[in-house]
Amino acid sequence: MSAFPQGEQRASAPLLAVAGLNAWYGHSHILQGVSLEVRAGEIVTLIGRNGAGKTTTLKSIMGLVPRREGRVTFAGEEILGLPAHVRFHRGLAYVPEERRIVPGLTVEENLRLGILAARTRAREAARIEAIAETFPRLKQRLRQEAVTMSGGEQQMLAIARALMAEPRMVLLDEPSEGIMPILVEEMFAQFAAMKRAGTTILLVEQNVDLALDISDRVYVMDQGAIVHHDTAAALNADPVIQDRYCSV
Amino acid sequence: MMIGPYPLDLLALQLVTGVALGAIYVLVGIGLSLIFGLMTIVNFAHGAFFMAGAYVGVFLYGYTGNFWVSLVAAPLAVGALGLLVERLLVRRLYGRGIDDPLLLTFGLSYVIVESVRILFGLTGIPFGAPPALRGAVDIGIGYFPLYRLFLIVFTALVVAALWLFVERTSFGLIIRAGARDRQIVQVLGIDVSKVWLVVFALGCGLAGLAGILAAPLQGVTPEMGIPVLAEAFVVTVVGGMGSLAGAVLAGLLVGIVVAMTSLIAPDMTKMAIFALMALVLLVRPRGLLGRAGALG
Repeated sequence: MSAFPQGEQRASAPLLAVAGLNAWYGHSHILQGVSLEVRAGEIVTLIGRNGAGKTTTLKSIMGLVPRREGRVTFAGEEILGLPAHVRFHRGLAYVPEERRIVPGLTVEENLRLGILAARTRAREAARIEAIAETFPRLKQRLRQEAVTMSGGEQQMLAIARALMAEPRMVLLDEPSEGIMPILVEEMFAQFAAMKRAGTTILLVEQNVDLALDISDRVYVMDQGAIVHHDTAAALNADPVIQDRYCSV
Repeated sequence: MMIGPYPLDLLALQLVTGVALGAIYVLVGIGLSLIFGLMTIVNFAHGAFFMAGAYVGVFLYGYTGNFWVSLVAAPLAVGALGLLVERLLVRRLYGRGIDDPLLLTFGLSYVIVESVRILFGLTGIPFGAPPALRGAVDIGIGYFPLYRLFLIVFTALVVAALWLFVERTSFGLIIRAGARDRQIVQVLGIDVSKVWLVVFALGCGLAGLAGILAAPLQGVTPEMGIPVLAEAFVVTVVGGMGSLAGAVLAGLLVGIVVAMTSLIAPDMTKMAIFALMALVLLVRPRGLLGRAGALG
């Protein structure tokens, strides 16, 4: 009887907590006090207009913005001062907007790169096999040079590469951008499957309708700050907010 | 048979001489190109590391009388020096653009050359090929110095080993990926500063190896690295920054151009190298096997 509330509390403790996050590029003050939380097992989506600071938020969480202040805790530990490669070892993965598939490398080599530095490195072959089952499009192209694939396939590879080391949480930046609609739906089905497998996701997405369908909660950003926060279901029913902050 | 005033056999021999000379350029050029391709550092101390390798090797040869010991120890010693230089000096300048490390290594080259002058004297040390590699062998087109033949074969083995390292090992995969996209490699959990340390030391070690290999051809002097540095820059520019195959191709090409010009028009040798570079830059600005945007 008493175990249930405790268990509930533990499950709801945030895996990622961002508080009062400020970030600068040169003299531009991009993030002005961003606060958000993502609990383990959730899909949380960050929406907002272009230039609202969504990408910078993800980059700051991954440690890719040179000047940042505030608090970023992951799994209960402060990570704001840590370099990106250490954050990876804490269980954070990042799929950048530009996908960043390494030219000159095959699909398989790109996948290997995702687990080379991990403690689970010995399981490389098994992971590539598992990933190839999850992403059948990649399975047939393991020996192909990765940048010769279509944009959608490259996006699948970028996501697959981030999953190689079995991260606790994946930061996904605009995965649907510039990709054929049919592949976008396939990709979002993949995110839902990742969530069922226990991976936590923080998603930045312009495709609000699709994102709301798979998300638990949504943060709305504008001019470097969070301006609204609600469950996905509630926001789905609130066209006013959607219109105010998301129409381009 | 004659081609112009030259017998074909002589031209063919001179070509092989060029390949042997090119072997030295290949080894120096690969190190310079790797360091630039991965770390965007123009290593002006590369010629000084080349000279240091020759001195370490010759000095050890004086003690042990064994050339093979020198051949192993020289690259290791210069590689270790490279480790120290990266850790203590170059590392502090990461993220500060291309100029600062260039100035640092430029100054460092003077320090190394001056240190060698103080330790070993201003005049050079004559050094010949080890007894086992003296003499000449018939290679079908005429007699060719055995040592130069050894130089070609040994360099081919080193290049093959490097190729296997870069193309077939996990560390090589990291090097290839890091040269293209540093940030994605970091995001995938790789501490690039460790990779840079190894690559810098590897490049310096190769320069040291080239130094001891070149010693029997020319003897050693504190200034022997200065022309080699200029030639190695030509090799990296002609071959394409950061390209292993490019450095091999360009190194051999530069060697052949030098050998041929020194036969036909000895006064023009220095100019011929830079004429080659100018020509390649006009036709293919990124170098023979370079990628677009390697400087970006």
